[in-house]
Amino acid sequence: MDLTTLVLFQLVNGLVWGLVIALIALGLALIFGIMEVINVAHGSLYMLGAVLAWYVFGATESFAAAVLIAPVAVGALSMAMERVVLRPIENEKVLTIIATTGVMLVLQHSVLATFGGAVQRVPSPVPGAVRILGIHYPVYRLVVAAISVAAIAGLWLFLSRTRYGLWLRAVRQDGKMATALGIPVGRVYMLAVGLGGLLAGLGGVLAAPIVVVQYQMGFDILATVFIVVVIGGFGSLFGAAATAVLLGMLEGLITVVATPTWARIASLAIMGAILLARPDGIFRRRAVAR
Amino acid sequence: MKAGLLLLALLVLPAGLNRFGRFFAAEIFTWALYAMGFNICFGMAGMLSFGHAAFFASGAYGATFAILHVARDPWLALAAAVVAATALAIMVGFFAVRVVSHSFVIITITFSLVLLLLAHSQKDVTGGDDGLLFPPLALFAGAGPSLATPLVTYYVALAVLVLGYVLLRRLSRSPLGLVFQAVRDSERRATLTGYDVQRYRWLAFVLSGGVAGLAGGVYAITHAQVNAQLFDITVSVDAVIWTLIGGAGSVLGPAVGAALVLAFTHAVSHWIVYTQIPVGILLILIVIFWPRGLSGLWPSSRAS
Repeated sequence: MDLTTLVLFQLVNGLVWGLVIALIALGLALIFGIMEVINVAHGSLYMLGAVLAWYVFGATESFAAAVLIAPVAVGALSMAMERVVLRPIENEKVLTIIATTGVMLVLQHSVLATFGGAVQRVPSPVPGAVRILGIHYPVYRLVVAAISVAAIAGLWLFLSRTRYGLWLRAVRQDGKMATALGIPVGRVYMLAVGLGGLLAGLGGVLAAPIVVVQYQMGFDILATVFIVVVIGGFGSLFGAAATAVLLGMLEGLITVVATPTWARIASLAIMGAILLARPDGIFRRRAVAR
Repeated sequence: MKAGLLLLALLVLPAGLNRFGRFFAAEIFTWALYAMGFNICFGMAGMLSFGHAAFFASGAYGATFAILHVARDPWLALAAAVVAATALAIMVGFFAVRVVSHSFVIITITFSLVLLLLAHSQKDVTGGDDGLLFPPLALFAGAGPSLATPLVTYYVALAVLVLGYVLLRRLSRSPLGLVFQAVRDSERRATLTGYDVQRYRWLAFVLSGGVAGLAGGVYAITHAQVNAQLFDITVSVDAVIWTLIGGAGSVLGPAVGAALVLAFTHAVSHWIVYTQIPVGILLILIVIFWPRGLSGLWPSSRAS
């Protein structure tokens, strides 16, 4: 492969991977934007989506079944987590971090106990490659990009066109006022966490045939989405999605000359620089564009 | 007085322990020192770090590199451990102390996750999950009894723990320690009194990382091996759990928490293989049913 082809290949790869990261980061930003809860278990929800995809795909031989079942299961579990774990402590932000860390430990090691610690590979559900822009590109990754874009569009439609979407945005803007207007804030919280989990689970399903499936795979993603939401402005949905795609492409470019780990360290450096430039602005929701 | 009695008990304890018991006690001393170091940052200065595994692990690796490449001297290795962890803490702290509360948690967790990735990917440097091994050291650079002897391991770990305890106790009562606590209790008041809050936070973070690294050094010289799993987030979470259980309000609290939890997990390890599951559940139960005992520690959560 000559350099131009390699660069092009990595750019497209970065774009596809960036779209998957965008799904997961949107889930995290959605939960933070509405409840100001930082879900440390988010990486584990992604991992759970991937593991369920591996299991369902293996049992039914249908990847479509995995795409439909796994994210819904992860979303339902997230709603249960909101109800049982987060509800009693939703006003103590730091405590929610500790509690979701507990959830992370339970999820990870339950998966370890159930499915074992071995590294699993999910065969590509759509084998083959097509020729685009002069490079041979795996079809499945294009499917991943399409599903990701569709899911992001679906989320946008849901938030802008439905009653629950309106409520979500209302609670996000002003929780007290929303309560006063009779919006069922508790249900909205549960829905937000459920949606966030659904997105993380979907990301896990789509990533399963690309990466290796293992109970610790969530750490890598957790680091990435944290970096994404810090750069993108915590809680900003647009910021999270845009940063994920840009960072994905940048990391893709860097992998032309270095290993993926160094690409991740470059992202970390960017996050550091942003912290230095805007130490106060980043996490204040008021300072980010809505 | 109480501490003196405890020390006396610990000095004669090995007489009643078998081989395994002595090793296990040394293990507890090591992690107890780590938890006490963590608590400079958390209990004293009010910053909840979720990335202290990085300092423990960098200390362990710093010691190992000194042993493999410089000299087979355990005390030099401990010095290298402190230097390595302190250097890392200076770097991470430079960024992290600019933010507080949950943002601080995110920054520390992110740094440690990336370092975990780095440690796993650079197998030729860190040895990955298999780690790096070296033959057990002698107590004094090639002379004296072997550190693989349970009794020697026990007393070395205890000696460093006591040293750490004495230093931390002094720190907690020193003017510097009081400034840390002032910064923890009210950032605004400390600023108005003329203290550079960010600088003191940084200093507390670095001291905390250095002590955690010292514990990592003890781990390295007593185990004669280190591996990339030491960077794991569960190591960071352990420090939080032990401190919450033992109490963040005193120097010895986190050490007691570490001893209790390690003894408990060891006791149930016959019946429960995946001990992290009950640990996770315990963490959730603590924050739901016992939040008042904790919330006074970090001012930002009270304010919100």
